[in-house]
Parts: sequence; C-alpha cells; structure tokens
Amino acid sequence: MRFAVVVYRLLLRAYPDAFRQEHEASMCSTFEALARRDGAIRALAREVIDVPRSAARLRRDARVQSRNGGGAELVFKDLQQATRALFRVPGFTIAAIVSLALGIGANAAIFALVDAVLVKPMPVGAPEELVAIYSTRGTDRFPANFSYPNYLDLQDATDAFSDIVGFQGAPLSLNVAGADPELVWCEIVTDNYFSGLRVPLARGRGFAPGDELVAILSHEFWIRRFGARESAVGSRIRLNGRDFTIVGVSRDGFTGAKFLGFTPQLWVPIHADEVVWPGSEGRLERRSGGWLNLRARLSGGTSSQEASAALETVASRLEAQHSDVNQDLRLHLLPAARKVEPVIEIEMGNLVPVAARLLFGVVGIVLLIACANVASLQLVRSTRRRRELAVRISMGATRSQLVRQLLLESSLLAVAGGSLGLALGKFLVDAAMRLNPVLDFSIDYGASVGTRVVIYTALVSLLAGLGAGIVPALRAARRDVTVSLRDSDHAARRGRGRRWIVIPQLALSLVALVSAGLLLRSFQNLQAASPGFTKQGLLLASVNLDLQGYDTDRGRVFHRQLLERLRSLPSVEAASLAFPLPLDAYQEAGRLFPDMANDAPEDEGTLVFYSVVEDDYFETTSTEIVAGRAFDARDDQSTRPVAIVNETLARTFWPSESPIGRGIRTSAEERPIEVIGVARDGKYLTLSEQPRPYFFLPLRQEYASPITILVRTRGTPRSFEEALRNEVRVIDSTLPVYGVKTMEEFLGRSTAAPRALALDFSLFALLALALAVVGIYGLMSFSVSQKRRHIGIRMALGATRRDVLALFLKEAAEVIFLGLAIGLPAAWASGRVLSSLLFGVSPGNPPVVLSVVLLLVAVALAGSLLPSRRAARLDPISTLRHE
Amino acid sequence: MTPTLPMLQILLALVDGDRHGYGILLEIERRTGRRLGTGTLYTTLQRLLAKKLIEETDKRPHPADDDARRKYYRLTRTGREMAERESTRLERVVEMARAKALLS
Repeated sequence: MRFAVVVYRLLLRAYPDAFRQEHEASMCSTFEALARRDGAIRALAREVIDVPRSAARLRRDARVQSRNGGGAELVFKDLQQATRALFRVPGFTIAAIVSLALGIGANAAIFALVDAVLVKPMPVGAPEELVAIYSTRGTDRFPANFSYPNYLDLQDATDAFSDIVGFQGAPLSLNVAGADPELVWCEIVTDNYFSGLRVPLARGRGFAPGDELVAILSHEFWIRRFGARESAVGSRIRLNGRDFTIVGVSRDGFTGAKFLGFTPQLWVPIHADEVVWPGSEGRLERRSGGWLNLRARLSGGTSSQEASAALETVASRLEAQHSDVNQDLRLHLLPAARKVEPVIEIEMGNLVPVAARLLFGVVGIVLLIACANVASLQLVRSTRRRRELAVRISMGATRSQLVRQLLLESSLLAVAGGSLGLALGKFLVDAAMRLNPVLDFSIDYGASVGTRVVIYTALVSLLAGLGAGIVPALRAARRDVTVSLRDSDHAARRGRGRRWIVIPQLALSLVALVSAGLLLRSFQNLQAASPGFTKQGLLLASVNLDLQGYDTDRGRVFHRQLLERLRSLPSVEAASLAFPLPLDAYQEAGRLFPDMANDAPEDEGTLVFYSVVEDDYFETTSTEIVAGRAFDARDDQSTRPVAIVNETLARTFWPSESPIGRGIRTSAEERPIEVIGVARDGKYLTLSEQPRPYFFLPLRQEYASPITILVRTRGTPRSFEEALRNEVRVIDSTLPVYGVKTMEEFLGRSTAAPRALALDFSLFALLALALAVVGIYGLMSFSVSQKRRHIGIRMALGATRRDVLALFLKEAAEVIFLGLAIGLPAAWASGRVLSSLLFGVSPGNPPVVLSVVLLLVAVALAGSLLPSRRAARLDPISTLRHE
Repeated sequence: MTPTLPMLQILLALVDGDRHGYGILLEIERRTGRRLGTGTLYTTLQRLLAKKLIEETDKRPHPADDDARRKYYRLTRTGREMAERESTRLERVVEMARAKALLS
C-alpha cells in the first residue's frame, strides 16, 4: 500500500505544477481510499494508464490555449504518439504484452519464493549475527539438539556468544472462557528467547528468569483469538488444564525462530515444560537426549571461525565432565540469518541454492524467449512502418528521435506487460502458498508480493523493454534498412535463421505439454485409486487426551463414553477410533517377525507400519475382513494380545498356510500376538504404493493418544461436525477437537503434492505454448512481410489466393514438423525422468502424446493462419507498385 | 459548449448534494457501474472549476468523518443549468432513436 502510494505520487508528476498544487492532496486521499477498497495493485493498475493520459490531455488543452510548451511537454507528446501507435495495432500490442507478462510473471513468482526462503533475513534484530548450534555424537550423521543441562553448561562455558536461546515446538490444549477449546501450537523457549533474538514485544514484557505459568501471544493469534484487545495482556488462559497469565504480545511479522515456517501461536517459558509436554517430567534435569533447538548470537567482534573453535573446546570439556552421555560429542555452528533451517543445508547439501539457481535459469530462459518474440514482432512491425519512419525522417526527425520513439513504445509494452506480470506473479505465489502441506500446525513460508518483488519486477520489466526494443529500434532507424530489405535473398536467409528461435520453443512446449499431460493423467488415476476403504460419508476429528492430563484409565473411559454416545445418535451409522489413520502424515512402524519355533531371535524382522484401532473400525471404513474376525469387546487387556494383518503381510509371513491363530512378535522378549483376522489390502503410506504389509492392533489393548474419531453418517458428513463437537463437549467441555475434516478432504491432502505438481507443470506448459504461438505468429508475419514482392509476382502470374495461403501454411508446417521432430524424443526422455512420479500411466502414453501433438499442431497452425491469410489477401497490383 | 461524458457525469453526481472527489467517483460508479480513473476525475474537475460550472465549498462534515486533504465541490447555477440543458438535449436524441425504432 505505502509503495503503491509512492508510485502514484510519482505518476502525479505528469501534471503541471499548478495542477498538482491544487489537487495532489485530495487525489492521494482518493487513491488511498481506492487502494483500501480494491487492493493496492488493482487500484494502481487503473491509474498507470489514466493519469498519464489525462495529464497529456490537460497539457494539450493548455497548449492550445497558450501556445507554448517545454521539455516535459515533448516527452508527453512522444508518449502520446507511442500510445497511439500501439493502439493502432491491437493484435501486435496484445501479443507483445501477453508475452512479456508471462515471462515477467514467472520471474516475479520465482523471485518472491526464492526471496522468502533464501534471501530475506529473519525478522529479528541484527540477523547476520545469528548462528545455529547443533551437536553430533560419534559417527552420527544427523545433527541433534540439546538437553537442558548441556544448554546451560554451554551458555556458561564460552563468551563467544552474547546470547544462546533454546526452543522447541509443541501442541497445547487451550481453553478461553466463553469460546470453544482449541488445539494450538507453541514454542517452549528459554527465558532469554525474546531478548536474545532481539525481538521487541508489541505489548507487555518478555520472559523473566524463573517465569513459569506465563505465556506470550503471537501478534496474529492475539488478533484472531483475543480481538486485539489491550486487556488480553494480564488476563489468564488455560493451557493443558493449568492457568497461564498472558504477559505479552510479540511483534507483528515475527513467526518464530524455526525453519521452513513452523508458526507458533504462543510462547511459554521452559519452566512450564512439565505442564506443556505431558510425560516430560524430569526432562529439564536429564543430560541425555536432545530436544532444544539452539540459536546463538555472536558477541561483538567474534568471527564464526573463532566461535567454532570455542565450541570445540566446550565440547571436549562437556565430554570430559559427563563422559557417559557426552561421548564423542562434537558441536557445529551454522549461520542462521535466514528463515530456512540451517540444518537442511547439511542434510541436502546446497540443494536449496542450486534449485533456486536452476529455477532462475528456467524463468530467465522463459523471459529471454519472451523478449526474442517481442523483438521479432517489433521487427515485423518496423518493416511495415518503413514508410511512416521514412516520412518522418524526411520531415526532419533525427535518428535519435526515432530510436527514442521506438524505445518508448517497447517501454510502454514493458510497463503494461510488467503490471500484468506482477498480477500474474501474485496469483502464482498465492496459489503456491495455499498448498499447505499435510500437517496439523500452520506453516508460513512468508512469500508474498511485497515491495522487494515489485522493485525486482520493475527492473526486470525495464530490462525486458530494452532487450526487446533496442535491436528493432536501431535497425529501423538505419537509413539503409530499406535497401537491405529489398534484397530478398538476404531476407530469406534471415528468415531461415529466425526459424531457429521458434523451433526450440515448439519443442519445449511439446515437452512441457506432454509432461503436464502425464502428470494430470497420473493425478486422475490417483484420485480414482481405491485406498482400500470407503471415502464417502465419513467425518474425521482428533483429540489429544494426554495434553488434557488424562491417564490411560481415564482415557479408556473417555473412549467408551464417546463411542457409546456417538453410536446412539440416529444419524450415525457407525463410529470408531484409530491412530494413526492409514495415509496420515504421521505413521507408526515396528519391526515384526512371525512367531515360529525355528526363528532365530536375532532376526531383524521386517519393518511394518501399523495402526491402533477400536472395534468397528473395519465396519466404519468398510474395510473387508477376508478371513477370521474383526476386533470386538473380547479383545481387552484381560486376554492375550491379538492383531489383524493385511493380505500382503499374511502372504509374506505364511505363504502357504492360514494365518489365523498364528503369532507375530515385535521383539524376541515380548509375548507373541495372535492373528485373529485378515483385512483386505489397502493403501497405507501413499496412494501410488505397491501392496505393502500392514497390521492393526486393538485400542482396548494398546492405548493411544492423540486419537482420531471416525464417524460414518447418514447425511453429509460436514453437517455432523457440530453434533460431534457437542458430544465431546458433553463429556469434557474443555477438550479441544481439532483436524475436523471429511475423509474426502483427508484423502485430498495425500493427493495435494501430485496435484500441485500437475498444476505447476500445466501452467508452465500453457506459458510455453502461449510463447511458442506468439513466436510462430511473429515468424510467419515476418516471412509474409519479407515476401510481399514475391507474392505479388506469383499472383500476377496466376497463383490463386488459395495457392498463396498453402505456400505459407506449408512453411509453417515445416517449422512445426521440425519442432515436433526435436520435441518428441525430448518429451519421451522427460517422461522417463518423471516416471517415478507417475501412477498408472507410462511415459509414452499414446493418448496423452497424441492429444498433445494434435493440440500443439492445431494451435501453432492457428497462430500462423492469421499472417498467412493476410498474405493471401494482398492485392498484387498495389504490392508490386509499392515495392 | 457541449460537455464531455465525464463532465456531465460529475455534474449529475453533484445535483443532489455536495461531494468530495472520492464521493463523486463512488456515486458515478454506483450509477453507471464504471469507475473513472482518478486522473480523468481530477482533470475534469479542474476543467469544470475553470468554467465555473462547479465551485469549492467550505461546508465540511463532522471532523471525525473528515479527511483534511479532501475538497468538497458544489454545483454552481451555471453548472446546474448546463446539466439540465445537456440532459434535455440527450433526451431528445433518445426520443429520436425511439421514433426510428432503434430503441424500444
């Protein structure tokens, strides 16, 4: 908004001073009101044209009245002339603007994403001083976090850092009087978190040493949940059943210290750990294990090498003092000035920067193609405008005036293309941000179209305008251009060279279209794939009883009560509980082997994923039990442990016998678990997976928290949400219900990534196709303009219009054919590369390839038809006379 | 002189009360569904001021609802006559179109 007002003020310079003195303030006030109403970019887009145009009109009127003008007037005259020239050729103007918009839009979007992840510094004071500290032990490959005692020792052991802060993310059960309970996410942080990161609080205070049951709200959460009321600070909220006092609200824009955008809604001090993280009793005293993420601030003048060296000393001291848990301890330091988790860079090498460069490379090429296309369109135009330019030179216009005029035209195109591209970029970024991954907490990558992106886009547009305009402008202003153009041999050669700009574009769009087609097909297949259970009529919701302070016994009572209440409702067909659900983001796995007499106990077993489910799970999800029986009330803690395996697991462990009555073990020591049933195979980790072993344990024997509630309803599942919440509220009014979604929505999340990929590729393919069409249109227009004389002669010798049309369409067909000839093998190769992502469609899938080829040929021919028809309509007499 | 379309729209917007620039813009948008650019709006206002068809007024709303940067405009008598005359003229044009069954 502020930026838009700045741009708007710049635009207002177009008016004479006197007018500005009179109206500038009220115009700004009006513009701000419009920007608030319509959005800054839309409001600005409207004014970019209107203000200069009305200014030109005003100045013209003034000139008519007073007959005197100045330097600025000249510019506006040029601008006016350029605008008019462009409006006279709407086809050309639209093609050029769309080309530039596509190229610039792709650049703006990629820049916004890369900027957010790689460039933008953390929203903390002096971010360049921030480092992350990790530890490894022995030959550990993965860097680990810190125990609280090791953190305290580290803090005291060196003065290389002015502050070291620790934090960890955790879910919380929140209760505020008069509102629904809610599951929220917090960071458990050391007392110096806010002061150490130098994040000033918008309200209240930071944590003080010894703080326990207090909390600091994120700015966003304060607005959403507390209506931005000042009285929120000092009030009490219930977290996990205990009263916490809100002592502060963080600064707007600060979204936590952690990596790829995990966004806590509030912060609690580390001494509240036992309340916040049930089961963590004694964790603050334990030296083993690592859970705290560390960020440190280098003290003034300390280089990161010196700090690393200091850490080595500290590591050996910690090892010497506590050799039992700190054996082979090593400490590592990584810069942490940016939002991307530094450890990701260790895990993935410099994948992120490489990927970023690759993306920039791709969009850079796209922009180059767009510029080449626009340049080629401009050349076509300038050959057609020869006479106009010649007349102007003869009337006394200087070469530099002509160049200025032509450059001004391409700058206008670039401004229009840039504005449109910015809107496109914003659309792309917003679309990318909506693809929240399969998680229950919120993620904010912080990518948005802000000032930096606008500036970047403006620069790119400027470059594109110059890039697309400079060559045509210089050539058009050369006097001998007419001579050289008359040399048809020369022109024909140039035309041939020009083909090689267009042919790769056609090939590239073929590759992109085929890839997009394959991915779309694969996505359709995924959606149609059966997960092994019913998708319709199911509503899911989760509760976390641990956070609510339930022990196992109370939890079991809750399970029983809830299911009884749900099942007694007339709109409920079946209800059950499970954790985790197959295809959920989180999965449990255990080593498993069949219980056989001759089985060696040191056998490592097979890693098998499993789920803990309540009676009626199989009925609720319509999962068929193909042998034996489902779980029921008999399978509780008083009897032997039982399990239900899927068909693949049964086949793997007992290829030739019935699995019913057999045993499985999770370790050599534990009692064998008796198999009582076999369930139909389904999908468990991804929809595209091959059949894999899986088993189910009864919730009555294996307690689980959190847990997902499944309800099959008679009506639409969404309409049951309130009833479900109500039943939970009757049993425990302070228990948050979260993750309410239908089974279809839940499954939609597991196809979100393939869907995003297919959409991205489709967008890219459309972009490539659009550019290629503009390219071939430009090529054919050029060819036609070069061969006017040729056409005239032919027609004079008896060629019909149809012959001329055929002549040019044949030329276009040659180019298209060459594009296909290069593109098809490349498309096949790219299909092979994609094949691991494809589901149920082969890389060379004939329907996909065939329809893409037809589409491309049709669209490319349509693009060439326009100029070819123009050729066919030429009047031979006037053409020859003209030449 | 014949006023241009934006001129007439602004004059008509001021017939039933004084408005500031943004208010005029909203009124025209409400009546016609089309939004004038701010450039067109203020250059046209300038022209109308120069021709004394409208004038600035000192009457302002309650300070709480006001933006000090705004200016309020009022139709002058000449302006009102001009709006009437032009509307009558257009009405005749429309009648003519009806008579030729161009409009129903």
